Amino acid sequence: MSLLDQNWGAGGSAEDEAQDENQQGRPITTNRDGTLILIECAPQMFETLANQMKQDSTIDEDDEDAQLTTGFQLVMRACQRFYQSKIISNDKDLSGIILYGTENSLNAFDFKHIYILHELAQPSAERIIQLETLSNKDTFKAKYDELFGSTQATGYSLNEALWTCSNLFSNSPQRLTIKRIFIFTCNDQPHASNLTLERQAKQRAKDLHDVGIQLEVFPILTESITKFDFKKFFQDVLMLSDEDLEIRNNQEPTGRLNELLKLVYSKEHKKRAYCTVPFSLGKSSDGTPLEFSVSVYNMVRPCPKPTKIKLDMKTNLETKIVTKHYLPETAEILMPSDIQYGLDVANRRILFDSDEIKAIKKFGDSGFELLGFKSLSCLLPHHYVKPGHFIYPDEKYVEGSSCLFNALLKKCLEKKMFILCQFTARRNTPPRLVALTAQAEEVNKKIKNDRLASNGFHVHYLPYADDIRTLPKNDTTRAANDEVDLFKNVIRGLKFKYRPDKFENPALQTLWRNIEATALNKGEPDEFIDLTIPSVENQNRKISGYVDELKQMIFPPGYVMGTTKKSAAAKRKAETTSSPSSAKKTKPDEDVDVEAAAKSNLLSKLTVPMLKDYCRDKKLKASGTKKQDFIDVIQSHLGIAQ
Amino acid sequence: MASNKEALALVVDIGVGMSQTAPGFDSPLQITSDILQMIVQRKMFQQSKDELALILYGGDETNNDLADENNYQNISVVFSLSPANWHLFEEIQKIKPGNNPADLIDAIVVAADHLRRETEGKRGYVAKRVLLFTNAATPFNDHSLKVILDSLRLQDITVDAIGPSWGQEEEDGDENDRPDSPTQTNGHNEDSASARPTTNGHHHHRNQKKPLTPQQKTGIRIINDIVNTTEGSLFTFREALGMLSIHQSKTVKPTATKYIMQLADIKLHICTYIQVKDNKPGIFRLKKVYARDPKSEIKVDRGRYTKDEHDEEIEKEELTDGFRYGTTFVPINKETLDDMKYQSEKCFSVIGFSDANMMRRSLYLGDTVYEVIAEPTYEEEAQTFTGLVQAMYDTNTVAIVRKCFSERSSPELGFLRPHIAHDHICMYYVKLPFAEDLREFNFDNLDVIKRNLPSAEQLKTVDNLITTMDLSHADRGREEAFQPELISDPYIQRMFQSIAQRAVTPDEPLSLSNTIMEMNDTLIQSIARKSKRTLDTVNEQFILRDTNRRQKIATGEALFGNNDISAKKARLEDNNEEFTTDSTSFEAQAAAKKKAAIKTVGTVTPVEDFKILIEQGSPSLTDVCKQMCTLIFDLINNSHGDSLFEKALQCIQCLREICIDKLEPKIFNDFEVVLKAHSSDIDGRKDFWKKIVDEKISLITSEECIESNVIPIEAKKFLEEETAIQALNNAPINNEQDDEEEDLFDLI
Repeated sequence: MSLLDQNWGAGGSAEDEAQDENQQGRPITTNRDGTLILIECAPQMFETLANQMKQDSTIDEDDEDAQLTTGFQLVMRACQRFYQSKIISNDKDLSGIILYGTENSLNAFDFKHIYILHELAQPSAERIIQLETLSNKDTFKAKYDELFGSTQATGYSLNEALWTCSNLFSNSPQRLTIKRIFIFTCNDQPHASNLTLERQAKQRAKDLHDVGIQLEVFPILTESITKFDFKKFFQDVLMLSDEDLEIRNNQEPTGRLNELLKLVYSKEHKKRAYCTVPFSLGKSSDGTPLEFSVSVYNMVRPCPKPTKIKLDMKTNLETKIVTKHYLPETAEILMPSDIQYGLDVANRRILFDSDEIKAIKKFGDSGFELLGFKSLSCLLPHHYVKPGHFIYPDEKYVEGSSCLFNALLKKCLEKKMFILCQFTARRNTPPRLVALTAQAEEVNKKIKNDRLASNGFHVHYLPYADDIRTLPKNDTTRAANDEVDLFKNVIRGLKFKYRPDKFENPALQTLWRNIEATALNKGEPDEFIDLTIPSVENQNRKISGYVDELKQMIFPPGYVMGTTKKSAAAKRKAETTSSPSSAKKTKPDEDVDVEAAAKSNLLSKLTVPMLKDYCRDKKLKASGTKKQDFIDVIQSHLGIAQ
Repeated sequence: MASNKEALALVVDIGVGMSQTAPGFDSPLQITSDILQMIVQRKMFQQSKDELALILYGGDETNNDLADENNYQNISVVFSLSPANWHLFEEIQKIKPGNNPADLIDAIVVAADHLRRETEGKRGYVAKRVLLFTNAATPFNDHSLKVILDSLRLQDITVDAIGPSWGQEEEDGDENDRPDSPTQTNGHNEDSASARPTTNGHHHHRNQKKPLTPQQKTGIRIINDIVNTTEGSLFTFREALGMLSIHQSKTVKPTATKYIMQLADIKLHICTYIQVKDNKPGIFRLKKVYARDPKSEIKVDRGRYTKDEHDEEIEKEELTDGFRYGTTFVPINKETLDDMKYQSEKCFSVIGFSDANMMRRSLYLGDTVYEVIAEPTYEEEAQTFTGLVQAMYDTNTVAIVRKCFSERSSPELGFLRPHIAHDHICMYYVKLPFAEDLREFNFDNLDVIKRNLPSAEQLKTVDNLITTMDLSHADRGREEAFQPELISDPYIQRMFQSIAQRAVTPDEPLSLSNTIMEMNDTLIQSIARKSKRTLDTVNEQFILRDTNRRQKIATGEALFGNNDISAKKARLEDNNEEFTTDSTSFEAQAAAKKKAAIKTVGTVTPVEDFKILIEQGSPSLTDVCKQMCTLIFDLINNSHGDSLFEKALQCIQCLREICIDKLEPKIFNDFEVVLKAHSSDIDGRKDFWKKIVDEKISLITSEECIESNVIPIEAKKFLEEETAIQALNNAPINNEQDDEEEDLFDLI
């Protein structure tokens, strides 16, 4: 089957297959991307960087990055960050590094001056550590000479270098959905003196393009090379239209490089349908089932933590679990056919076999079945049992799905109704009632192409009667109006615009950073600022007046809130759990406060939304949408030198 | 802690009156038996501590502590007060109509006496109750009624009575369920009789409406008297069945988790309660037991082994925790791991307030909705809390909260939404996502493609559909239909039903019903009636064309599934063999498992797979050969240069041998004909055919296999001739077989 499935077509096919695989209930094979980084090692790469590049390289204001004086070091650092980010975002993706223009050669074809530093593989700590030594100012030269030879050669062929890349891709044991080659070069016309080589290289690039391998060029500017003209050679390699060329040549050469240099701790999610299922409206009088097809997506799910694995102490290698069932009396190992499932009710053991357990759970084929429509007001705040889905029509199984779906969407929006369905996600899962609420497309009015929400239906799981618990009623006396008014002031004082991407998961981020630090033998993990801890100080600054009034109004003098009455022991416990420790925890420089962060030069540690919000508050106009743009404008606003 | 159990005496009239009924109707005794079974089941399923006794009167037997030669005759305590169990359930099923006179009042006295004796000196009973089942058709003596009533009151015993009717207005109940014509009933009766031992299911009770006899009228008056005096209630059969027809799992006692909510300097004691959470009844937890001796539970051993071909077991002490960093394994010992963990205290801190409209339902995360209230013992704090809820309610805001259950758990983000009802004031807490939990998928605007735009006419139809299927007031009482609060989880119902069925009739196959559709049949029918015409219009106006892709996959899956089952069977048999020869050796089992895991011919070791599958005998020889043929074509088609030709040749040779061996030369011969035909007209396969010729892999001849009708000269010619068309003519081909091969190519 795997051979049959081979589909070297466009990127879209990956998604399709994922759905099909889901459909068939087979294990999902991961979609992997492959990236090869092709680096020119011309002598200019070891010159001091052009000023414009240097400036930008300090965005991370990591001291280390400031020490990257040559193009080669900078590229090595970019590769290192790329690997590090990949491990977090998608460690199944493959990457590799090939150098050309080196004295030594290492490749399958005995091409001269082409050195495969890293074959196409998943990133590892060893590779990252090696790249670290290749970028570090104290070690990079020696390490370079040791590996690739001390001089740089000019008699290389870009054609051969690209051929090596293409060969690495075709020998990849894993199927790759996206194949990319990043070329780092300071030479905008590598074969200026040799037309044959130039022609060959262009032809090769075209061939790569034809088999779906994407090429990307990252120019490196140095003291002696201050301009990179794509028109000279790379327009043909990258298949740029004249328009694109214009854009490229006017672009800051460092923009995309900076993106690579950034270390990102976030997981990447492939857009893959959870399942594609029929949506049944019922039957028409002649018995034809009225069905269209929808793809179901998960838009919000807890990001999994790195899973702890058990290693063999002797070898530090992975281990596996072998599960054996045995009888306690005889220690006899049992086969699945010997196993039945039992449960005890009123002292009688009731037995089922595994097929029966499955049959009890099976109510019907997977899909949505329409029960009716309801007014949105029927959906109460507590009607929730588990994270929902998003559905979008699918034309692959049933053509015409989109039109009917779209009609339902429009009418539900107009009439403020939701669709009530019975939803069976998988064939062996019992059905649940779901409310489908219509979602119209929402576009950011200021920035074009910034889609805030796509059109489709949200799927909300509804509880059953069995899931809703009866709780005792508590009818406390209502608060007086003046108290409520004070609280309204408190709310006004602490109001902010909630955005779901505002808060990062402290436990997850800490774990990621710690694993990385251990793997790479770093002394200290990368710093992380926890925004979920509110700063009581800041809050007090804004609302303490109202709080004091409230205290006077409601509490007897000397009352200490939050202390547990009862026993002395409990009191002691309460004290330790409440204020002092949490105050200590929130160090002033970890404050959400953007200004404080700016003063401690920690702006780059904050998230873009935070910086954006601050700019919006202060009516600052950033020159672009990049993080650095926001940092720049904030710094200049506060008069802090960069 | 004293349990709040109830002592309950089920007093059942089994006298003549209870079994009299017109043909086609359930007798009052039958209905009583059903109700009793439901009661006992519910007590068992809820794991209730309540104790029950069963007392029958009106039968032949006499068995009670008060009986002497003349008194308290024909009253029998068949089950003494104790928690409900299957024995009681069976006693109820065994109830047979009696035809002896027995006194209702006497029976109540026996019941009261039994309750007194059994509960005396024991603690934990909060109530004592007599549940009386009768239609009051049997005469009784009410001389000492007054004394008895006083005694019942003194002992604090409540008497409830359940019967077909209490002569009141409820006769008019719901006509829908009532059989009005006997013809309708007849068929149904059989049905309900066979379904009788099962459970609450859905058999409709045919309860005959009959005018009351004078005796019944008197009886009802007296029963009314007793019930009223003891502050009990009267129920009709219909009411009782309605109350009991839904299975309920054990109710969970609400328990509070306490936090201190912090908002700037305000610190408040709060309690959180689970309000909504997927109910997974603990009673459904399955144990793995030994099929041949269900009493013994199976233990599971999860050993750690090296992940290489040696499969060496590793002791616990030799293991360390670790993580994967790319392909690097990072060992981390326990202490470091604890240090690395994010440290947090228990907390419930308000980060700030936000507009309630920003809280899209699609963002909700987690599996629980909590209710949050102030801890009542702290009055001033509770007052503050109420003020906050009211202010949030008025300003339509929610509070964003950082919540951490304990020092050892990870902090989570959530929000509080104020909720104010006329008698209740609280907040709801639901978890929110972190930035990492969001998946920002983008979907195109549907309107961009013209054919996705519905016409005005189409929109009108959908509008009609929504109107005809509007459930907001579709209930009988014009109330909202399908309220989550009123719809039972079909899985829980079905599981309970299956348990009951299996417990009572262990050898019968399960009858699986209880779908949402079945449970809400009437409503669904009525909506379907209303929406029928609109659905027809939808069908006319919207063109929905099934591309049949799903069907293909579905049948493929069915095929696969079938294979799966037969392969499983084969595997089991296979394993059992292995088992007897070498029952404990892990290696042998692992090998067997590996062998058994093969269900299809794979590309890695096709020859081996093929041989194993043939040996297993399932799937059928034809199927396996077909798989092999497909695979050979795959290999040829996908071969870069001639890299896979060698493998393909091996497969062909193997297929040939097997076909000769199994006397199925036709399979191979047909295959080779197709192979030749397709090799000759497509580039790149010519060289493969050349290999076949070089290797002299001919059609199977009659000399090699008696089943073949290809003579050796023909076979030779077949290899030598250039075009396949001639060969096709020469070769004996059955059309049917040919079609199959064509399908094969469709697949490719």
